[in-house]
Amino acid sequence: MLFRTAIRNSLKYFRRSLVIVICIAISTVAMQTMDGIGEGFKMSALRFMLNQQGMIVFEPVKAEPLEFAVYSISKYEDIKEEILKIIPDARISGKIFSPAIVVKDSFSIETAVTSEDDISGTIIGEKTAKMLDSKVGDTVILFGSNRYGGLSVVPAKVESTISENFRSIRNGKGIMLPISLARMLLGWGEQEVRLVQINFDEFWRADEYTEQLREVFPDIKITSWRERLTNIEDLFKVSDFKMNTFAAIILILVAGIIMNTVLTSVLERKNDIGTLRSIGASRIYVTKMILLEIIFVSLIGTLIGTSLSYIIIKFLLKGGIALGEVGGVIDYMSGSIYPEIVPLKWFIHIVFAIVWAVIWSLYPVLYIVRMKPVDALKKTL
Amino acid sequence: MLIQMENVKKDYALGKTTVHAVRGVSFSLREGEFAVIAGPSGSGKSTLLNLMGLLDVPTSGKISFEGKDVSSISESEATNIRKTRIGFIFQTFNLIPVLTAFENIELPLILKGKKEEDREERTKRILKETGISDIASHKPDELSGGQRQRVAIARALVSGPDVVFADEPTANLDSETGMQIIKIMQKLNKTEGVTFVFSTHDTRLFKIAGRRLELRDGRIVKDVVQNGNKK
Repeated sequence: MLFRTAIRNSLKYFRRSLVIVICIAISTVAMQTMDGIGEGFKMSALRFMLNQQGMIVFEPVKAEPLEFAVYSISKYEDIKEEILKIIPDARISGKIFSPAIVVKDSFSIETAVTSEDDISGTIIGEKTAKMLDSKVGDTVILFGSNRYGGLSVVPAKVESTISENFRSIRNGKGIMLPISLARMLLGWGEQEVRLVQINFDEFWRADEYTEQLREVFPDIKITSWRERLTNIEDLFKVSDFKMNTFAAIILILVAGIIMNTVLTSVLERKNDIGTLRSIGASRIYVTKMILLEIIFVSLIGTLIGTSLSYIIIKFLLKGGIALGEVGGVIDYMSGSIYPEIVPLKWFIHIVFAIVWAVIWSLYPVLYIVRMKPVDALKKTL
Repeated sequence: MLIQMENVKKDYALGKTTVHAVRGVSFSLREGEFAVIAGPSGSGKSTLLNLMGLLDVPTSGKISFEGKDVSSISESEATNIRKTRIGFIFQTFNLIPVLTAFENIELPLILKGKKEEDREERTKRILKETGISDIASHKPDELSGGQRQRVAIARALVSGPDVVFADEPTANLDSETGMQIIKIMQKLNKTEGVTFVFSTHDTRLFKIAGRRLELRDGRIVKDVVQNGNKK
């Protein structure tokens, strides 16, 4: 009878029910869409960072921050073969980093040198190019320290300049060399690299692969992305905070509307509630009856909201959202993010939206049930 | 004695002034009585019924229900007594609009926790006794005033209360229907032995009651036992 009365009341007072349905649907959409975008951002950021930094990284065991020019990983080609046996879809990249002094026309600047297999020539950042007064076609002289502590000098022809914020040439202050040139600067052999980065499709299997690789290469320091990117959670917290703040603003606005609507609704039915109390309905019975109605109406609101969220997410998945629009958490990232649906979190949002409606209905409900039956039966307040 | 009122007063604050709705009323009601509280509007009839029906608490004085002082009992205790011992009939019928006549009548039995078969059997019986079996599936807004009041009577009686309070039950009905309603109440008083107390300012109905309490300005000015009843 309680549930039947609740459903019939929600239909009888259709307009007020509709307001609550709309409020809850908006809350659900706000929470689920923001969560979908947030999850998509996390996943995009994670993939971007992993592609940049590697899902698994090989480094020389004795490497120290100030000595990294000295130590290297040798037999790079052999290592690649072994890695491919364990991770067949691995994308392996050997890298060399080295400090260097770049000189032209008596002007010098300390910079970092990055090298990748696919860099065919010398790429210089725009800011560095301006500082060196260099342009495409010029030759810059690189002074470096080789592995024996001696001076090495390498001329490098500027193949092209690149704009700021491009990948690892931070702020444009950097030079990207072909790996062979970096090796010459460091005095390294052909099979030597500073580190090896491995990427693959199933990034969540990084720890499992790392364990297997450690058994094969006991003399090399091997770390998975989970071991290296320990502060990634902080980055995601910033993203979550932004998304949650937006959803919270919507929820607070909705709370006020729900409370006001429920208060108007119970006052409109004050006489019915007074009648129920006079024929022996307890306060708990009346409270249950009204809250069941709120839950029923909210449930409909969450179902509509979830359907809308699903449509919105599907729509956003078609084109993605440009990363800059998300709030510039990682300002050098490029590309789009694609929202993701996490069913468990969506279910939690549904429950939360219903609980939220119940919480904000409690004041009006308690106000009316605490009223003396004789006062509730009066025609006016 | 079913109900005993001893120097019961009820004051209301109306802005800065105090309204003395009931001013020291004392009387007793026996089981099986069919009493009318008569008086003009504003004489305190409804307030007195509300106090007797434990819908309100007195400002001072003592109300006893079957010898137990109920003047200052808790709200939950009062709810329990209303649920098990008291029935109400209102001037404006006060049926729950979303429930059918059957469901409205069944409601007090649900509140009492009766089993479904028992509820159905009792509800059908009272529907028959009040002559409204044919409208059981109708909702209040599909019923006439007289039919609604019959449903209200059935609802008040279905759980077998000791006493039924009816606040101007005929005020919203035409005189013929009003008389029919009072006669149904009178019949149920005789057959079921339920105590009825109803308020009215319709002088035609005064004569039917076994006892007439006349109220003026919150005081009982006349307490008449009639139609062969004993005080």
